[in-house]
Amino acid sequence: MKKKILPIIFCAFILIFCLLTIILPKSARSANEKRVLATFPEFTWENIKSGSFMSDFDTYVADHFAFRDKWVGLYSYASLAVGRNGANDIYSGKDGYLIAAPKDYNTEQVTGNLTKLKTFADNCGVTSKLMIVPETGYILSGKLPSQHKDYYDDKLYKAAQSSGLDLIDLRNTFKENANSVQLYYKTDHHVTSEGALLMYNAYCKSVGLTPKKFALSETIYGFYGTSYSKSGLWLKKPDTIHIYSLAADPSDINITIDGETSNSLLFRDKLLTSDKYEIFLNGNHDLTVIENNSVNNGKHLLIVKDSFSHCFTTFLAENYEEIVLIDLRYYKFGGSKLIDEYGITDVLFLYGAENLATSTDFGWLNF
Amino acid sequence: MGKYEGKKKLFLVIGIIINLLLLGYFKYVGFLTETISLLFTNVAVKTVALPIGISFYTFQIMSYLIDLYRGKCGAQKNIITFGAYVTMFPQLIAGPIVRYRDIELQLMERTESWEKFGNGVRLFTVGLCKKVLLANTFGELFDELVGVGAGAGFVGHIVAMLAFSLQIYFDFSGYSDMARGLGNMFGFDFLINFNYPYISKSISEFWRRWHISLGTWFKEYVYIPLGGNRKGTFRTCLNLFIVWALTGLWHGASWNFVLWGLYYGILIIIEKLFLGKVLEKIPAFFSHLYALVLVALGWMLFQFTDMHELCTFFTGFAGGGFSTDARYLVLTYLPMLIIGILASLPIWKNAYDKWKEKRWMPWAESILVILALLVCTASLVTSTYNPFLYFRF
Repeated sequence: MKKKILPIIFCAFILIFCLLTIILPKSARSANEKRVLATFPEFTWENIKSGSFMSDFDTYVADHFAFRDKWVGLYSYASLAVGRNGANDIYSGKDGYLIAAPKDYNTEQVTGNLTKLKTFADNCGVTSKLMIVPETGYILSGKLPSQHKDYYDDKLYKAAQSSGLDLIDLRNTFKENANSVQLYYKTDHHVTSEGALLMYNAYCKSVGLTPKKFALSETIYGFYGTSYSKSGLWLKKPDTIHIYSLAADPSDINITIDGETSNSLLFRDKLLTSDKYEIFLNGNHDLTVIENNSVNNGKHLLIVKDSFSHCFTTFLAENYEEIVLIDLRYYKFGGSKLIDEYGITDVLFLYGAENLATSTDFGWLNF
Repeated sequence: MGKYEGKKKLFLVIGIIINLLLLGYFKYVGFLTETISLLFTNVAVKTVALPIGISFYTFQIMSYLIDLYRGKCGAQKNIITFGAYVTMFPQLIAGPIVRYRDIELQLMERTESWEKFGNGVRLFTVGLCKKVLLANTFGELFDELVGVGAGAGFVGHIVAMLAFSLQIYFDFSGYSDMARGLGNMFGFDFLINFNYPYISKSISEFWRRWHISLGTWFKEYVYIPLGGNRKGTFRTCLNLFIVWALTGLWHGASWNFVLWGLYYGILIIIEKLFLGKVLEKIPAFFSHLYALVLVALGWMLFQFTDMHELCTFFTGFAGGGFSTDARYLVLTYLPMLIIGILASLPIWKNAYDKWKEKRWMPWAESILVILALLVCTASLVTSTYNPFLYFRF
């Protein structure tokens, strides 16, 4: 019997996971990875001849391997056990913080991106501002594991300052408030609603608007963000999302996305999906138009943005007649025609530091 | 064979030429045209898709032909059996180079057994761990440290060399172990291919422990036919030079591999001439250090196909400093480096041999095998885990 143990274990291991992978129901998309999973390749002579059948089959099996996410978790914790300080480019920080490791800083890329923004700012005919949201790891350096790569936010800010763009510097106000308020989610790369309020106040101050008063009205539990999904550290605790509302009477707002209009900037059906952060402005879209009928100041703002703007915009919508947001990852029609079309009076470039430094989509702005 | 006896040399030569032409065309045409257009005149550089494992099975077929000619094995007239030898999948991709005469009997008659299968599971699992858990991890570390560049400083570069030395050993010997393990499962016994090369005290010893099947092949089918060491010191040195240039070139179609081969040729000649005796006399610590440092330097010659990158790497040693990024890499990989160094020593095998008859051993090794398979699977699945920050359609 003893000599049969190893052969049986080995064959059973292979057989069990093979069968489970075949039998278990397949999902079309992965919530954690935010992508569509591979479909079973077509069994045609052409595909077999070109070799794509087997390579697609490989991808298919990898995407639908039984208990895929559990395996990822196992490996992430195994990595922690052998002294790595996180997994999949997410640091496992103190107090349950999962913090994205900095990507490589490419000076040429940064200069190019800033130049493209500057070109648009110079030619759009209205005043423009640039706001960069610092990375979690830069502001909350005390929460990082003792060994980590250097964050390059200071370098990026310096480059932005010398680019000639009108820069709103969030670094000091974030650093001053970091100990008293939770500015960043623990499981997500975004700023919390409190962090977004700081951004809102800083922006209002820099353009001479009077910030409105908001009050905490609701707490949403059980938010697992993208850092959590990437890390595979499935035992970390979820975040809470704070919802703030205007202290005064609710205003009369219409938001239009893909031709559909609704009258709340909060999309509660998103709370049932894997990414609860999408409650703000319904997540990423190419073009989002917000009209506030209770404001009559003639101000129309264009925000060229990534998702760091979403929570922030729910506040700022109270100060503008109209806000148009474009996301260059999806919006490929150039920015200048929007200036006339929506009677834009102000422009804001709003990006998280890493996206600003590494995005390759800025060319679409001057298209 | 009787009636062809007089023509057997002709058949041998034809067979070898066909094999070398195939290997030469698929593996070296790109290299050749590139070198010609670099040195003389612009010819179109031709790139040919490399058939998987061609370096290995060409050498296997040639070993059969030569051994047949020398009468060291019988002719295999069954195409299925011969096909099984040439295309045997466990060792097709990365060796070992199995000589026909070593498995001639097994090809025709072998016994599969639970013991052999269990042995195969053991070997295969060890090989899988070497490749997936160790080699891949050290590969990551090496790439990241090279990415840090000059900022890595002296310490960073030493660790990078260590990481690559561990990576290539676990990669190559891992594949060999898996091949031998699979062979065992099918009832074959392949000869050992790596025998703890990093415990060597000289370069000559290193090459008796590293990729043994390749070393044996070149010794038997190139070095000795050239006359080996029986024709005086000069011819011995020349023969060694030829063998090592070819050994280098076998590893890859690029000049840095030739250099790498010659590097070992020179070291081995020096050891043969006088250094070998010195190494035996000095304290073991120094001879170990000597062998390890030279092998690690050799790996850099092996790794950087671009001479420019190689120079950048070596000037980085003098870069001074030890940047935050490099320190972060070295410290967070430190436990794995220690595990890797320990895993490259024979202590585990010795412990296993000592305790393998104990009653608890079957259970202990079963648990280890399960754990190993779990973690390897987790690692392989994770490598395909690819999350995006926002939806991709």
